[in-house]
Amino acid sequence: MKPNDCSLLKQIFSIALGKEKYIIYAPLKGIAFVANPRLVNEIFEYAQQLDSSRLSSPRTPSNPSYSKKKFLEGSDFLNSLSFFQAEPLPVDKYQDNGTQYDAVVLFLTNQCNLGCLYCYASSGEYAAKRMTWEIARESINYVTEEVIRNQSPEMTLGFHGGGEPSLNWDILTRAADYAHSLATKNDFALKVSGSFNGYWSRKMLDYIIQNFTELSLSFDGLPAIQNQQRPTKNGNDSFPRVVETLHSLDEAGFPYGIRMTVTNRSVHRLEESISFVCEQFRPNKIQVEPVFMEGRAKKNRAEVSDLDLFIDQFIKGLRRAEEEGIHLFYSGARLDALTQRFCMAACRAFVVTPEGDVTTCFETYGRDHPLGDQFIVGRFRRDAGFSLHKKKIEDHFNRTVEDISYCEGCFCRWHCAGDCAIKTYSEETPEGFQPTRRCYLNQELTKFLLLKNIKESQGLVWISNRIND
Amino acid sequence: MSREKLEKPNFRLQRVYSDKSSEKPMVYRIEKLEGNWRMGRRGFLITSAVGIGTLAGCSTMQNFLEKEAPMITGACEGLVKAHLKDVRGLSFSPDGKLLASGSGDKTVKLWEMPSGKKVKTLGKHTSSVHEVSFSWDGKVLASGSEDKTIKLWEIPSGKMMKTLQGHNHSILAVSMSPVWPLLASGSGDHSIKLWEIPSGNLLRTLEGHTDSVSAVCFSPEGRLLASGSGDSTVKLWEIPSGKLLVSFEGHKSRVDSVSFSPDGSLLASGSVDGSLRLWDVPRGRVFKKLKVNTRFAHPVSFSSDGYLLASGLSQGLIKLWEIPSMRLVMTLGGNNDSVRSLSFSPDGRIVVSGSSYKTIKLWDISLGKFISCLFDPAALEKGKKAVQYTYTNEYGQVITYTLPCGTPTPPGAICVCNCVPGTYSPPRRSAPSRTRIICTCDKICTCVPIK
Repeated sequence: MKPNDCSLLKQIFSIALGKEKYIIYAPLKGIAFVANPRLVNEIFEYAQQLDSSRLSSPRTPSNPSYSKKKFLEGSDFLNSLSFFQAEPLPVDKYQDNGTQYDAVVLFLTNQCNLGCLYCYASSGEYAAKRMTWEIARESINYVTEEVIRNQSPEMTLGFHGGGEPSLNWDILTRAADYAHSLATKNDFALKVSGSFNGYWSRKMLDYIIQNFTELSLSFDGLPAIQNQQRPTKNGNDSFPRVVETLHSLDEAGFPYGIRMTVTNRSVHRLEESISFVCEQFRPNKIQVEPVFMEGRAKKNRAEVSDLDLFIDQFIKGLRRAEEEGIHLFYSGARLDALTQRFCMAACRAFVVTPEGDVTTCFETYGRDHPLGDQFIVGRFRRDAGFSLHKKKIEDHFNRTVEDISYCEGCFCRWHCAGDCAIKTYSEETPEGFQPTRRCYLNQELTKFLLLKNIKESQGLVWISNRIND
Repeated sequence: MSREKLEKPNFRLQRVYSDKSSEKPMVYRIEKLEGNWRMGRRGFLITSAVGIGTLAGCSTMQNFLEKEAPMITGACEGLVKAHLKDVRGLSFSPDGKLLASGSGDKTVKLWEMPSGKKVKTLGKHTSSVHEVSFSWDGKVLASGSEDKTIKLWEIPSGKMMKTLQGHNHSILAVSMSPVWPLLASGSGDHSIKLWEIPSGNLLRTLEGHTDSVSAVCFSPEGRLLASGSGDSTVKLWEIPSGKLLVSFEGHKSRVDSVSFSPDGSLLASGSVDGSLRLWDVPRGRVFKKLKVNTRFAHPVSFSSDGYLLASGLSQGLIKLWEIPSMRLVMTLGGNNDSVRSLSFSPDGRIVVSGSSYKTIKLWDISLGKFISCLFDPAALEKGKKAVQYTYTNEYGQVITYTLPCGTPTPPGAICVCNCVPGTYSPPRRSAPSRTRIICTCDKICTCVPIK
């Protein structure tokens, strides 16, 4: 830990709630409560004293030579929680070893049978690309060798991309069968998962239920919204067939999550959509995200401009989901995560596009992507296999929130960890980072979750399980 | 998500100001989060209870984001006019292929869209034309005039079908029902009349306003009519009964423009008091209000998808507001001519604006750029001539511009140089796309590159 990292004033945050009320939050300890200004000031002065004592004498925390404020002397409340003891930064288990692949993610095609109005990849507007068996097989081989070399207990095979993976069905099934055979032969566990649209035939559904471990299905909820935002490529309603898929997964007891994308056209009905999903289906989780303004989302002006409305609807939907025991979440507000990275793709995922390019991001669907040059870090050649650009991989790997100066003073810094690398990427800043409007969502929803947790902790002080553990 | 300038967050623990210096250190108990959530107050482990503001009150989008809406500029060359006087009314045909304009010069003109070529000038009213409106099937165009009449024109022939008389003051507003063969007219005589189309039979007179009726608009399903008036109110009438349903009050001066959102749930109104208001139609109350800070009538128009509202301002600006947030998303401007009328094309791509300086401008909203100004050689000053250009736009359509002699060639256009009116037909010459060229119109039309 760097000397500066143990500064209490860098580890405790105060979040104004309105006039004369502040949430005091120590994320590394997982402690939060609401204080009046006098208490904020007392804590500040005490922490400041501790920090300066530490700098002058490293042993002071265990043997303080300073005088405590009177109110703290009489209270064992904060002391019993070791509130004033600095914590180490979140552990990054990848830091020492660098990128170690234990997941292979294949983008099987850039084509889609839906024509979503917000498709970030503008699927169907570029020349069709399909992954060949050779690229799929060699990708799996590459990661299998890493898994064996690193003695990882498990490998993940995922299907993703700027198109619907099931449209390259032959390669999908061959890849899954092949990975299963390698896992059996080499004695490691295999997870098979992917992100799909659920617009499938019965045959596909049966195969996936039999051979996959889990799934993420994109589905926007109410029929009118699903059909408006996610019509078929030919402009027809996608709702009936996707609903059949969801019912079949429920009947089979298959674990899946729903990914719901919110646009300007659907934000006002988000709560209804969440309620609808909760009533009709049994996903184990629902991920709700405001649309990412790329591809057709830009063209169709889909951006959620009223983020306060999104927050309001999300909070209402959260209550509904909790009633049904479904985990509803938004990727930028996650109190349960204490991390230095938003996403582990650069640490462990070998992500391969239909053309055989390797990327460090699930959203870089190929060379047509505006940031393809930045996020593509390798390439497959028939004669030489995969060649990777190590410096680029290291650069992506080394992106942690500790190096993002914008996040220094933010209480979300170890939760969203600088947010998604590609959504915040900028060539115009030295750190390659530029905040987005998601920061507002991240802060407001994290703030709400803090208050909710405090309320559910007898209304006074939230102490996370992390501390109890 | 879009990139915006965001302030660096500072939530680090720091000293905070309080005017209650004698207060003891306390933590609060949170008792309720939803709705009007409250917290009980606890002194350091001592109980008492007080209310607290709502969660949303802590910060808002407005103070979090610093985003400036883009400004798109576009100005008409000095001689490029569509009418001889101000352009007061604009209406697209339902298929978007025709634009009608009504002007203080007493004429109604038809323009082909998107080429912008003038199709014809319809027969004259005897006084200024205030408003024009196409019927739901595009076969009839109505124009309302200061001469107290409404004229019905057969489209596309342009032949006058009927002159409707009945108001005893200027016709300030006309609107065709998008569903039924009905026409509503608003007049300086404080009344609204409903007419059957194309017979021209007067069906009903709606009375309730206490001043001139300066705006009328049918709801998309045709069951409501909104009216704006000099009495500062906006009223909603049931159609066809003509029963007054609600009177919206709040504007402080004449309401000059009203427009329904495509789903009929919102009604926008623009007033001389310098404000725009959005009214919640089902609940019968104001939804949002916006002060635009200019004392001028604000023409307003919803886009066909309902997500944009355009409003015209006196400084020649058009503001595009996102609905329902009313966030400013784009400003269109150039020249300082007051925007008197505006309309979205049915496909929502184009905004057309008419001005007090006789011009009609076309803006491509989807591409965020100015397209051109409509030009009628008949609106040229005496002694001036016009020339033509052809241009293939990004949709592959060949567009013919007719512009006054001496006007710079639009980028990418080919100078045809037929004098209009005239008989000269010199060979075509292509122009490099970035070279500015003057198309002169002397004995022979020639393209002269300018360095």
